[in-house]
Amino acid sequence: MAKLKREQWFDLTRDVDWEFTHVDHEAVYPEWISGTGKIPLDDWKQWKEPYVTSYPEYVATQAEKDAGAYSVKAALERSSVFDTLDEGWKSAAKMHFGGIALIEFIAVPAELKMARFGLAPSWRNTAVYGALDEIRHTQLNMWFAHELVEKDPQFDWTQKAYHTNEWGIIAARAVFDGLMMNPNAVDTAIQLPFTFETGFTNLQFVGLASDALASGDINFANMISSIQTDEARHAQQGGPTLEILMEHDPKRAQWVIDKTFWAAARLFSVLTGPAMDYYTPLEHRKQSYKEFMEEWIVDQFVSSIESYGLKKPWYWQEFLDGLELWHHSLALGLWFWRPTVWWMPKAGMRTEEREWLREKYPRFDQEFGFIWDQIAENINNGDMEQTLPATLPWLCDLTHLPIGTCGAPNNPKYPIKSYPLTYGGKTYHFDSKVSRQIWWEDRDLLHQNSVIHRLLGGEIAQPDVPGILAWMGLTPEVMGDDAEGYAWAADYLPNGDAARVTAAAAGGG
Amino acid sequence: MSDTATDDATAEGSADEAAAAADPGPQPFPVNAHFGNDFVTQLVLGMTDMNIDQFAEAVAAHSVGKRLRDLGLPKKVIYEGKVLDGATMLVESGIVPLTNVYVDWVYPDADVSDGGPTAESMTVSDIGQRRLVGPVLRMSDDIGPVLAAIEDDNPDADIDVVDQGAYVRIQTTGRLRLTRESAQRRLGQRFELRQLEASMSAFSGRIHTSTDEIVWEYDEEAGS
Repeated sequence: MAKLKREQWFDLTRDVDWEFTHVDHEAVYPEWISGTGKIPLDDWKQWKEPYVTSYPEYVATQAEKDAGAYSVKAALERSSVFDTLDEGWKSAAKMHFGGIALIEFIAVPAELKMARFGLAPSWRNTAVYGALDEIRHTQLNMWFAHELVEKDPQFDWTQKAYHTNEWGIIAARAVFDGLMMNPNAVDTAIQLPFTFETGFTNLQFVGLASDALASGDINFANMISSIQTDEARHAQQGGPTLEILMEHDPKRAQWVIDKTFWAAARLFSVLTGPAMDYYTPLEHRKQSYKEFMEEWIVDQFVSSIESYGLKKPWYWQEFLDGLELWHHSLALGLWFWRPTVWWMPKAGMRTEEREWLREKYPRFDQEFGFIWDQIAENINNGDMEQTLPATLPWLCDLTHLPIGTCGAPNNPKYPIKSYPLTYGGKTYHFDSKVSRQIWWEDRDLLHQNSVIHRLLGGEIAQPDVPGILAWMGLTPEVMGDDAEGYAWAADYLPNGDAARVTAAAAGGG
Repeated sequence: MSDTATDDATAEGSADEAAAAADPGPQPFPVNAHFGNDFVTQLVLGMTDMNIDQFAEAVAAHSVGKRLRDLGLPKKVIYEGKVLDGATMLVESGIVPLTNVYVDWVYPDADVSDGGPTAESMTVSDIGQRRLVGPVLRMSDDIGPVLAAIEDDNPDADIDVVDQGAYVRIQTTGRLRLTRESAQRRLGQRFELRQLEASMSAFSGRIHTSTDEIVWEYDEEAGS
């Protein structure tokens, strides 16, 4: 029996709408959460999804995808692949699971907001698939990490991370509240599917998959690239919404993209940058973080926004310059404040690793090399206390990342500098002018208090480093430490053999 | 894990209290401080009974020897662009708690005091957008047949294939299509175009899908 082509029947289901007779439209689609703004309601009838899927097709395809992902997992279940993985790569996986798994779950209500309050029936229909997708992603992440908990308790942070006040988690929570929970349905479509899912998630879920596969983590590569096939589809809610918004309020579209892009770029410089350029074993790195960013963001995403008549964000040059600096600064910070994270930061500073960094980033030594030299010297002298923090970096009130990490020590254009603002009797600090400006525009929507404000406000009962770590939820068995037991520092001694002895001794401290 | 230098001092440490209190002994004086060419600014707790020189040491203790070499030079405190006198008490120096303070070495030759080596210009440049379109396929044994089908459907296109291991980009400028007919010839008669979704992690360009064809393209007219 020949089936009807989808085009011959699909409009009957994808585009069914109601006219309300007993209530006002506003009662069903309140402006505060639907967010039509300057767009006349009639114009939403033009909304048409470019990546068309019917429900039967959706179910069939998703079942095939899950069968693929879970059968690979089952096949590897009894293998010893995991035990052979590099500690640095495992850290990249731990960062991913802790930082992303439960974010997949808050993407469910974000999709459901569009499924309920989206202003076109075809859009709401597409968003239902999006919500189901995100449930699948949560399940995949949680289940793939679960079997690793017994091998390594740091994987327990897949579930635990977002139930803590760990500083990186506060930073991520601020970003994802800003693009999933706070905005109305129209802005959500621009921020989440369009900016985040067609731009940045590709870097983490496709780009990082190539590092994962090269590093031998077949399961992880398989899982994240399977997840991204859903994103490639449901991210297409962004385009049609953006097209309609551009007709009536291009200024709003530009602003919403600009602020989301900045928040995501800053977050990925701590989440993805160190994973690619420091934690992935040198011989398995497919490209540098900067090269992945150029491929997926500078090239692909900008082509996309320009095709809608949008401009590059106003801070474009600062963002490009930051590709040389930001993630190096953050990788250094993650290492130095290593007890504050749930993975084992890898210095990535062996001689040949540093040569690679210099080749990929000509300014690396000038901006950060001398700091690593001092750290290596302290390790080699057995002075471990000097390699550990006794205070916190000051954190930006928008990005919640350390102030200074938008710049570099010897850089006259972007020096280490705070951009302060006094407002309502309180002094705020920002990592950049861009962050300060976004905070100012959005200040009534931002509710994450920085760790610095919480500390000085008396929220942390024991305000010293051990007390702060306890408050962040970091228990001794998961607290981060050097991924290689400090063995890398031996490369910095004039006599390599003598060095290894010292380094081994230091590793215990 | 080492302890903070001022362990006992911050239990009620809000700024106003710190500035106002006199009787209960020395109070913490938190600032957002930066030393020399360190890579971050940090929370540093000065104390109300410190003078500026002592405060400079408190700031230095979180950077010098930890991440910066100890140059053994005198230090200076810079606030709102002015170098403060070392003997002045912190509370009388004009520094407001929670604001930015910069501490640096006093170099013998003033010319090298700030900024370190001269910076070169950045190496990232804004590479022009090439407006490439096409699918990005995840690792699977369908990649070869899909590529062959796309080549069948786009005989005039100059197709570029970029293999990154876990993903393969198939791309060209302008427009690329994949028809059901070619896909079935290469992947088997039961293959439906919807199944491409399971291998397509991403794509560039805008997509249009129907039962018989998938198209990736950019309209050259922006905003359309």
